[in-house]
Amino acid sequence: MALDTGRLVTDIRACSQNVAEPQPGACGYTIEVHLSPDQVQECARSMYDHGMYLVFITAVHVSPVPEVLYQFAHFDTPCRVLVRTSVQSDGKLPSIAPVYRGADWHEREIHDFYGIVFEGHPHLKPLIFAREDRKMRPLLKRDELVKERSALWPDETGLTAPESDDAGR
Amino acid sequence: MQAGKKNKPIHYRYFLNMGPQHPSTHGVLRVVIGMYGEYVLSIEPIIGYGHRMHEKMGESRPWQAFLPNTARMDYACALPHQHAYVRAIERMTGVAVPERAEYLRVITTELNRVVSHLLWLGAFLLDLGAFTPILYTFDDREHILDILENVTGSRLTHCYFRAGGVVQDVDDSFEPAVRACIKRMRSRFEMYDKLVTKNIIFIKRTKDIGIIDRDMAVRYGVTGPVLRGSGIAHDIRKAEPYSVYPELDFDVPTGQNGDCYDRYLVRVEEMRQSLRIIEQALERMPGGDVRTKTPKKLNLPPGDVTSTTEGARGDVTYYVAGDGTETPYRLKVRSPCFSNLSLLEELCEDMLLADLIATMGSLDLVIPEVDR
Repeated sequence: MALDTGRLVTDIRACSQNVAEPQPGACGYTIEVHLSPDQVQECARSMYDHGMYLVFITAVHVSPVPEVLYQFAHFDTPCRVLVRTSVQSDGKLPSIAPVYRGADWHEREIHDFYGIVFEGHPHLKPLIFAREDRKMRPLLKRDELVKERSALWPDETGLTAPESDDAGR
Repeated sequence: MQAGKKNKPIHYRYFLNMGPQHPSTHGVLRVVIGMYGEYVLSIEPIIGYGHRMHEKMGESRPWQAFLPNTARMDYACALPHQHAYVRAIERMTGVAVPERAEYLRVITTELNRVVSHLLWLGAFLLDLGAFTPILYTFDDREHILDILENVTGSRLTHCYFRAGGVVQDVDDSFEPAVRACIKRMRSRFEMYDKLVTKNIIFIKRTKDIGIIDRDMAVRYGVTGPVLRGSGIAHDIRKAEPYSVYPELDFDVPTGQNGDCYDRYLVRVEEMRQSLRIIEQALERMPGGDVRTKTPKKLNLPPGDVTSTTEGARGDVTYYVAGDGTETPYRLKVRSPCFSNLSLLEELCEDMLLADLIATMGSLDLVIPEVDR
C-alpha cells in the first residue's frame, strides 16, 4: 500500500493552504503544515485515510500561545509530515485520540507537561505523573525565558499565521 | 477465547496488580489487570515510575551536555538514540562527518543492536518459563560488551558519538575481535535455532498470540521488529537511509501473522543481518579522521529539525528546536517503546493471563525509555 504523496498534499491543502515542502534532508520532514485548531481533527482524519502512522505529538512553549506539533510518517513510502498548530487562547485544543488511539498517551503526556487541555479526549488523566504531581507542568518555561514565536522560526517563507489564531491573540 | 465474559456476575471479576516490581514487566512498570478467572477483561499500564524529565534536562543545558542522557533512556540499545541526537545537531549546525566515523557509528550501532536482541531473547524465554537460555545469551552478550567497552569506555551507557564524528578511533585489536565475535555468534545462532525455534512448548506459547494488524500499527504508531512481525517491511535504515546504510547490503526480515512467534523470528533474523552489515562495514571502512574539528561553542540556529534512526525497538526520533543559543529551546524524544506499549490495552483484551506475559515479552519493552 504505497502512499500517493501528491494526493496527500492535495488533501492537506483542503484543510489548510499553509503547506510547505522543505528540501529533503534539510530538516528531517518533507511536508510542513500550519493549521488552525479547528482544522486539526479533519487533518488527522485525512492522514489516517492515507495510512500515515503517528510518530509523536509534542508542544513548544512560545509566546503568545504554545504550539503543538504532530508528526506523521508512512510505512511504505518515505514521507514525514510535520503539522503545527497553536493552542486556542483558552489553553484548549481538539483531541485526535478518536482518530488515532495512540494519540491518547501522547496527549496525556502533553497535558502533564504543559497543562494543555485536549477536548474530546476520552480520559485526560495524568500519564507520567502521580496524582500529587499532576499540576507540576515542568516544561512550561519561566516568563523571562519564553521566546516569541518569531524568534524560533524567523523565516517562514510563504507562510502566514492561521486566521482563527489571530482572534486568540 | 469465550465471548460475553463481561456479562458474567460481577463477583467473579477481580483486579490483579502486576508490578511495579515484577520480573515480567522488565522494569518499573505497573499493570492493573481486570480479570475474569484466568482471562483478561481490561488492562491499564501505569508508567512514570522511572521518569527523570530528560527533555527538561535537554532544554536547560548546552546541547553537548545532553549526550550522556541519550544513553540512559534505552539502556539496552543506547547508540541509535545517540545517533539520532547527533544527527539532529549536525543537521542544524551543518557539521560534516568523516566517512570513517560513519562506518564506526554503523558498526557499533549494529553491535549494540545484537546485544539488545540477545538480552531480549534471554528475557523473553525466561518470561515463558525457560530459564536456561538467558544464561547462554548473557554469555554471548558479554563478548560483544567487551568490544563495545574497549571502544566506547562503558559497558552499558555508551557515550561514543559526537556532533561531527565519534569521540576516538578504534585500536588495532578492534577488527580481529569483531570478526572473531561474528564467527562465534553465527555458530551460536544455530544452537539457539535448534533449542528454541522448533521447540513445541515455545511454539504453543507464542503462535497466534497477540496478533497486531496493520490498522492497529497505524493507529498506535507501532514500529521496529514489532511492526515487521506483522509483515510490513518498514525499516528506517532502508526507508529513509542515513549514515552509510545505503552502501551496505542487508535484508529487512518480516513475519506473516504478526503474532509473538513472528516477532521472535524477525528479531533472530535481524541479528544475522546485523552481523552481515558489520562484516561489510569492516571491509569498506576507509582510513582517515574520525571527527571533524568543531568550535568549542557551537550555537544552534533558530528553527527546528527532526532526525530519525532505527533503534532496536523501532523508530527513534529526536525533535530539536534552536533559538540561536547553545541550549536547545525544545528537545523532544520519541521513543518507540512508548508507542509500542500504548497498544497493550487493545491488544490484550480477552487474553489468558499467561498469554499476556508472552505478549508483553514479545514487545521488547525497556521501561526507562517509555518513562524518559
